[in-house]
Amino acid sequence: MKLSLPIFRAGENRAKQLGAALFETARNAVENLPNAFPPRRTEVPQPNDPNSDVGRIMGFFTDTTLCIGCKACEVACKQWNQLPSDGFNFTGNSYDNTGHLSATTWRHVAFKEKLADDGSSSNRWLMLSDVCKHCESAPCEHSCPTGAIVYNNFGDVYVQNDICNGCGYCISACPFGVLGRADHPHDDGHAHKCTLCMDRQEEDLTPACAKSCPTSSIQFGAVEDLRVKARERVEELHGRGNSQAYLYGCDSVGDYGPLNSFFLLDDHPNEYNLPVAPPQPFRGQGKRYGAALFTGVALAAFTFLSFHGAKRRG
Amino acid sequence: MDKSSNPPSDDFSWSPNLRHRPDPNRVTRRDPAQMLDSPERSGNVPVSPANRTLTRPREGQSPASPQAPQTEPSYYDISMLKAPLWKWEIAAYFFVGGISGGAYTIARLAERADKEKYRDVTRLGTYLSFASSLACPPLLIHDLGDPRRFHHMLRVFKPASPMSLGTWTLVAHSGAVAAGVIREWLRRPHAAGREKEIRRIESMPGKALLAVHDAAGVPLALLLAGYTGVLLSCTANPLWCKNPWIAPLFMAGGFSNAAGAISLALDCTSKDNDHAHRILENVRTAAGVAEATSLAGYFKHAGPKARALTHGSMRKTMRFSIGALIASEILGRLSFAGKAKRPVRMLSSILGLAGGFALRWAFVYGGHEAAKDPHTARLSSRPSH
Repeated sequence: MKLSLPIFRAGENRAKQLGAALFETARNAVENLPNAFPPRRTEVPQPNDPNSDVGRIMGFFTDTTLCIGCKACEVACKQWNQLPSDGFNFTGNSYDNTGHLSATTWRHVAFKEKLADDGSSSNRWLMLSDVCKHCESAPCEHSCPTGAIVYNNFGDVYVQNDICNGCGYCISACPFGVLGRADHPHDDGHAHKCTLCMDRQEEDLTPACAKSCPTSSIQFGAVEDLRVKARERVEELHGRGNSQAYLYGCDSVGDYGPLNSFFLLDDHPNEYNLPVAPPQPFRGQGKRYGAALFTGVALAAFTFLSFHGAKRRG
Repeated sequence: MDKSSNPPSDDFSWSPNLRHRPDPNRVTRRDPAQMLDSPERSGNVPVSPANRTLTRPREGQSPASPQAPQTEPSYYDISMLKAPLWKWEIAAYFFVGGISGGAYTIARLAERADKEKYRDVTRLGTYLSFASSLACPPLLIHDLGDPRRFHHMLRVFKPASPMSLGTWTLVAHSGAVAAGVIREWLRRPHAAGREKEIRRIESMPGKALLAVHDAAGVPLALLLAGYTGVLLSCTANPLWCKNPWIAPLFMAGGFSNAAGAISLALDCTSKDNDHAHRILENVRTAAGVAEATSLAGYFKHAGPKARALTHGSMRKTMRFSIGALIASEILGRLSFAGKAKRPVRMLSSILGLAGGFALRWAFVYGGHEAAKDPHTARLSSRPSH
């Protein structure tokens, strides 16, 4: 294997460059130390913060009662983001042949055909266009060892693919199973997921999936406006007699913060392959370090006393 | 032949060393024969009315949860989580890294207790720690697929991420261990004519330097042995998620493996060191007690989420691991006289090391199964946790 470290610029003093790199690294280390054992919620960009360049936090509201399962969002996402095909798979699970979100599927339409229990004709068809949840406090962002995953200036979780190292930690950290690593012979071996069409947003365009949705099942906008809209929609549905409708991810669930791309559901979350209460894996990280170091120090003390005591006796 | 499996290699000169391997999470084409033979399609399994779906879920394909309730809502029994991408390299790294941290700690503590008497423990512990810390980066590079990626890990220091903290710890620890090796080399027994240098090291400024070295090196070694457990527990994987006992388990395992490895090395290099062996055996027992406590705590905290270890494919590995650890403890405590003593002690050390390796193997590969199993994946997202 050839080991090449492309860190030096040609034509300049290497020792100087190395010194500068070391200084930079040390400065990073000192600046980052206070974040080692973060508070309950990791810091997220706030529009009101004068130091941040975040405008309004943008997100999706996906209303499953309006979804007709046309998969226009899947196709639009694939086209705009130039994602490769997943192959012509047939799963036999209704019209869903994608199965789950992955590195090359950033919108996934779930289909679930449900027969009424009593044999009446009120059969139902659940459809949901699944997407990265853009968590307000994202475990993937927290886990990323290279800082490739960031909150972008629209308040959304974004993987910088030129920085991603392909370690796979975010894939285990995501409680929704959103992220995937592109591992095929032509792929880059990096983690990929929905960018909330950051490139389109920078040009004031609606993300491709929301733009293509023919029934406004996928709505894009500032999250605070979407939350108001979503609550009104639930009340409207309740008034029409659909008492099952509820919002998923609009508010915090347990210790998990609200989602910037949230859903209106019509059934149990597990029917759509969504967790009931996603765990926040980094909550209590400091305690776990503490438990490890406590064990280590106790065993080290025992070791030292064994050696020391034996010396005295013998 | 499938053309797509042999891509032209000149297309991607930007990643010449990147190995590609199949993503365990990829949705693959289902085997038609399997679809026809599934028990539900052939009508052998009664479907409860509450879960009647026109297109049936894939039941019977999750061996880790044969008793998953049929009525539980699910999406075609597809897991909502992605399986981890970590393979044998990471299991081996957890093992070797634990030994490196533990051995260095034991060596330095033995030196602090008595320089001359435990010279062999100090020397072998340091060398062992150095050798195992040398093995760590190649394992991680093999996992990442490209040596440059190991370097890229060090472009950022982000202690909030256990992986970044761990990479930096490994590098710093390797440096500390290398300095320790130099210390051992300077104090080597046959250093004729080096008395002056040794005296200089042991004079006042040298002593202060050694104290600083130990004060930095031992905590780093402990962190290296323990952070791996925190790394696992900071994931959404049902087997690891938020379980506070994994880190103490790996830390105690690091100590017991290191004590076993040093004892084995002592047996291989010198004949007569019964005194040191007895102390190492005591350390191993203490670490074993801590390991057993942590494992019990782990299973209590995880409950049914640890199915992959208790009922799944890692059941045998887990049984072997616990059996080997107990057997090694018993063998180490048996007192043999004469010729049988050394082989029995060596067997005990080897059994302990094998048990420790199997434990890490089970934890890494059990994570794959736990995430792929839809029932266990749902369990990890219950409101109670």
